[in-house]
Amino acid sequence: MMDKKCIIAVDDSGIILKTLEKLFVGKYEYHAFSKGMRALRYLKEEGTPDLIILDIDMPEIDGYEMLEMIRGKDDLKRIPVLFLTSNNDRQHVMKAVGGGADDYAVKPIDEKVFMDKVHKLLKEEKKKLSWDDV
Amino acid sequence: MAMKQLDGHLYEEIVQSMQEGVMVIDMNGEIVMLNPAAQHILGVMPEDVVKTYGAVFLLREENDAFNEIILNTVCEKTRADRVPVEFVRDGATASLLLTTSYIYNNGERAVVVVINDVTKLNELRDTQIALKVAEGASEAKSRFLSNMSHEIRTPINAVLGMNEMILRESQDSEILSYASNIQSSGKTLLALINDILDLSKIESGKMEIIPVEYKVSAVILDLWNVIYFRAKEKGLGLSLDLDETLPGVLYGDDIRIKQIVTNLLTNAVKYTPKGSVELKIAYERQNKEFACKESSDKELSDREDILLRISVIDTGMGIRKEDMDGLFESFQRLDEEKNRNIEGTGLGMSITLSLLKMMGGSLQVESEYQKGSVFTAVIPQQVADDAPIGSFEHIQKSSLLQKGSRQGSFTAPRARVLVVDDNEMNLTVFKALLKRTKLQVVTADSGKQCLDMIQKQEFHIIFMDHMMPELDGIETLHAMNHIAVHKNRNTPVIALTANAVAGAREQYLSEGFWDFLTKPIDSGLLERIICEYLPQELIVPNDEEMKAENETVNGYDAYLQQGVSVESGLRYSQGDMQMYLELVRLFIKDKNKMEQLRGCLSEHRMKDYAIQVHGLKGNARMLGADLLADIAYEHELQSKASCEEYITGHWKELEQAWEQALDVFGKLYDQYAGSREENQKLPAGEALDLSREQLREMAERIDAFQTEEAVLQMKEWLRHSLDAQIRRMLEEAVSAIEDEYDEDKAVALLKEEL
Repeated sequence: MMDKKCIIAVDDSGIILKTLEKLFVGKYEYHAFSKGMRALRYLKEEGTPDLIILDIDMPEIDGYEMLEMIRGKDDLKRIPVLFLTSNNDRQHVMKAVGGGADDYAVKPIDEKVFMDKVHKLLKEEKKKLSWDDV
Repeated sequence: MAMKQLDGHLYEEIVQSMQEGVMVIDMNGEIVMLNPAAQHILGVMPEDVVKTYGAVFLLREENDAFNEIILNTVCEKTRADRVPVEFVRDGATASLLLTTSYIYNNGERAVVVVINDVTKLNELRDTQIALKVAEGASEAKSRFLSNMSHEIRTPINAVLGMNEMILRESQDSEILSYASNIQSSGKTLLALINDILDLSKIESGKMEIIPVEYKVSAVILDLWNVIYFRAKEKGLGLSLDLDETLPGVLYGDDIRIKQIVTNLLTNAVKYTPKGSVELKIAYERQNKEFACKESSDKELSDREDILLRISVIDTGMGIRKEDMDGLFESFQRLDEEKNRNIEGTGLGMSITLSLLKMMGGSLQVESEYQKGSVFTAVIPQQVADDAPIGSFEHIQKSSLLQKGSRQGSFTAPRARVLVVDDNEMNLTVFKALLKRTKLQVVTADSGKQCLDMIQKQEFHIIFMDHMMPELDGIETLHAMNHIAVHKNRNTPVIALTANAVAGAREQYLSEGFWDFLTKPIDSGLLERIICEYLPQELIVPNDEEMKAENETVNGYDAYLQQGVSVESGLRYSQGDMQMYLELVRLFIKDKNKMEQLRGCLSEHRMKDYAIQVHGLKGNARMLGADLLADIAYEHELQSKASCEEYITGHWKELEQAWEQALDVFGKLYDQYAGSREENQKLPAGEALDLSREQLREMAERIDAFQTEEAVLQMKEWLRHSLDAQIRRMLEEAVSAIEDEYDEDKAVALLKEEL
């Protein structure tokens, strides 16, 4: 039996993290962090998830900075990243997607749209690996 | 034994021992020899043989045919080879086969007659023929039944269907009352016909008990709903006595059980002029004495047996002892005079008893004339799930309460369905039932027309009547699959039939149908099937009803006045009130937020302010606190642009909106989750003294990302009696992890204590 896929989420809002928890419970392994630094330490020490969800506006270290650090590491750069953003930040997000994020979802979260994106990103990961291996 | 010359003795013994009769008659017609078998067959005693002369024999007129055959041979006319002949003997007729031949005895000719008694053989053959005829008759009866079923149900379908339309569309109260009468008479008629057809089915051996796994709660609810209004209308008390330990899921024929109990309940109501009716459901476990675990049939040995005892207790007229036996005759109505006003054919009891017998159950009756009766159906059932069923109140609450409204639950204006039926009335009824869903309904009056249409248009669902002339429903479906190219390859096809016999479902599915509906068509079932098979995007739920429900039932309007749309918040929590409340709880807990913002403002840190207020905006929006979210958004824009004056000038506004939201959330929380707070007060266990070592280890574990185990351990500690400060610290640490997802904070709290 295949192990569940693992998803990491980083967002300074406990409410968003709890909402994601309800969406993922039973389907995926889920680790949530409200502090970016701890999340980065987790990625370094505990291994690679199958998807990383990042909020953009956070104190201490924001989504863009985190993305940069993730993409800078060999073992992490292939992991799909999904940005979470409020409506008005869309222009900034489009810029960031160019910088290595794979998709973005708008807050407040629309369950169907969001889960579709998650499913897509979890499957695409395999495709990416085979390309890079070539 | 080699073939050799046998001596005379042996021949004699052979002939004497044969079971075939052997008779030898000489040229004078005298019987020379008659072996024991012939004596037996012809009914001739040994004494008679000596005395009997062929002449005497031949004089028995009744056996002319017999005599004729022998005479013919004697007179050299013909020899007989297994000629059948009837022989009368002592008033009984036997069927014989005669074979004749010649011998020469001392130069004299004699005739040998071999007689075979084939009476029994003939009887057997006759029986087999009779059996075949009877089977043919039974087949004919079944075909008659199913045809009749179809013939009778079709016009009833039309009557009830059209009447339903009148009930839905008429505004005139007098017409509505007429229509209401038609409906109740129509339903009575349908029930009568169903009873007659059922009884015919039982008598021709076509009734089957089909066991399935079923929820007992569903059965009880259905029974309750059936009897509730009838009892209330008559002013009778109605109560339910349910053994709450009854296993919740059983294996048996729930449809027939419902039929049995419904019959008992309707009788109880019928024959009780005043007082009450009680439905009592109890059971007994059957002990499996044999070691079923050894049985290779694992499924059977896993299932336990129980005896279901369903009793209907009434305070009605009762039954006299003398009349008890008569109870079980079809059509018999006891106390004819008194009960003349009571409707019904009396078939119900007969059907009930037959069904019970087929299930291996029985009916027990106790009654006292003029006082009341207790009818108990005892039915063996198997247990599919032992989990107890719980109380009736609980069952009622968890069931989906249907408001019995004539309003539809959805519309699907962009969906198109095809309905195929040779009967115009049926098509009209079908279209009418679907009118309120705004579905586009296209009709075809034959299989041929259907095949034509499916090549021209695309349909989302096809409804196909089974019984049609020329090309019936099944043939049409098969023909559809053979057409190379048509637009409806993947369209679900649903069978419509007036004939719901045992195994119908399997038959239709095996023929290629996706599902089936019986006629008369229940509009609720029809709509449910449509919802199941239509692509989701074509279904438009009936919003008005839902909105009206929310607003009137829950009074969210008041909260809207205070700037909170509970509806929006619920939507973001996928309609789950419990989840919404949990998020609300987190928001209420996060009182620091405003302090932090105020700090940023007083320290002129606009960038930080922007980030913080952005977070506040997001959270508020998620919970439906739209007023607060809007104000926060404005603050975000302004602080991003470093407009400190705006922030200072509009701080009060933000604070007020925040306080209002907290107020609403507090009320909501009290309204829906008031009991939660009490539950959280756990009884204090033994005293526990935590060492610094333990706390340090805990902090390290959390640091090392062993968060789940850490939380479990801390919660375990909290079940004991602790030092007040330690308790507070642990609670905060657990909350930091579970609610704020801030493990660093938890570690910090632990380390502080060291």
